[in-house]
Amino acid sequence: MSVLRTHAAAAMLGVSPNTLRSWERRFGYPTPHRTSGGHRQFDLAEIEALRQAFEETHNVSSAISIARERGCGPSSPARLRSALRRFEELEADRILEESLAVRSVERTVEEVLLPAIDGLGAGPGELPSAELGFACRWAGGWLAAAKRVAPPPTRTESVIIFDASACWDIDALHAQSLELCLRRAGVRTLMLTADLDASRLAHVLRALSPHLVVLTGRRAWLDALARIAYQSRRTAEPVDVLDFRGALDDGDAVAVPRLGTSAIGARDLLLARLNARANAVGSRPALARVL
Amino acid sequence: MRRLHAVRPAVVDERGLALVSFCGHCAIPPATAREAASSRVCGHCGLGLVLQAPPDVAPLVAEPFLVIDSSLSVCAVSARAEELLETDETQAVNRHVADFLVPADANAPSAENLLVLLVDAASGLGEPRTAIVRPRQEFGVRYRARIGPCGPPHAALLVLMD
Repeated sequence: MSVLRTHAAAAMLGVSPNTLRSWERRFGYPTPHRTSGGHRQFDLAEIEALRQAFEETHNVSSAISIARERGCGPSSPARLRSALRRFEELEADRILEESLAVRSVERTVEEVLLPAIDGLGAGPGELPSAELGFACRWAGGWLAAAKRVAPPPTRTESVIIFDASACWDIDALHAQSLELCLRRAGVRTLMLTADLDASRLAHVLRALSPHLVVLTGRRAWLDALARIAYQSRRTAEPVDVLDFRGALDDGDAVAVPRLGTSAIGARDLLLARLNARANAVGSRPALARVL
Repeated sequence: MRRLHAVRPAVVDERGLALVSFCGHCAIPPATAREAASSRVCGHCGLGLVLQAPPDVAPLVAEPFLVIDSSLSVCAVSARAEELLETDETQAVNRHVADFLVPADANAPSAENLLVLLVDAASGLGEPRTAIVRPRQEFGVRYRARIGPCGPPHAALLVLMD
């Protein structure tokens, strides 16, 4: 839980709720958000930072200035989610920048960005909230910017990701994350929508001659996915088709290996397959020479 | 178990004197040991943290005082000192003590220089001492100040007496 009601926050600091409210008036810190009913909700990280500062200073105003300077502690999904709930785009950018100081791009995406947006997710059958819509667009933009500055491909193999998610789906962001991870690993990667016209699909596969095809997103019709799998396997070079985050139901995915739900884990599995394939291809001419 | 706080050994200074607890803003001691143990924030004014000092240094409720660290920065200003020095604690914190008080005893030997006394006290060294000071911008007004260690964390307590 990332927020506290007044009584809980006051108890954590060992003060009365009135004292906490008087600090808000006098120092402007900690700064609570208001629920729709007008109740104060304090950020757990701010309260924790203040509690730590009390151990190091001699008065409340010093402690507050220390807690303010330090910010709310390390970047966390809770802090990012709180910023997104308030539609604070600049703060969200800053939290990810702070995270990049201590984490790689991949870990920042996996440990901060995606869990933050997961927590905003709409339940089954619910419409996406304004916060989720904003968060998905912001995160999509951030991932796109990160892709633009990814280094050019260093490997000859290519991977196509067919994404069958809607723009407000968390799955769409996971698909973008996988694309980013693969690009940063030097793999030529392209992401396309899963509901391509059959003739265009064949054209894409011929033009790009991918080594691996990944299906992701849970909104595609089974026949669309089956068509992709069929077309992929019809190409001259055999192409492995894999499932990321359950594009296919368990019953449908008998012949399609699973890549799991983590973009970093999926990238590692894909790289292992590409390496195994490269080794097999590399050893073939040598074998032919021996024969 | 519920009365564990009552049998906890008293915190003593280097001379074996039991330390006195008081609020760093209003100087009022915590009402109970339980209150002191539950939070460092003063339950009376809510603006100070509970500090400890030897009994011969700790301020009375009516006495203005400042808390100063070893870099001679002001860490806390009591409510009475805010009135006396015409400042506000939030403005005074982290400023040099010489912005508020300067030595006023021309005959004091160098070893008893105000700043030396404060640094020694903030380091937890030396006995409580007295010095003569005056507000920086005022002449003809002198106060006797007692200076000694306080904390946590280590700092110097400067109590203006008269």
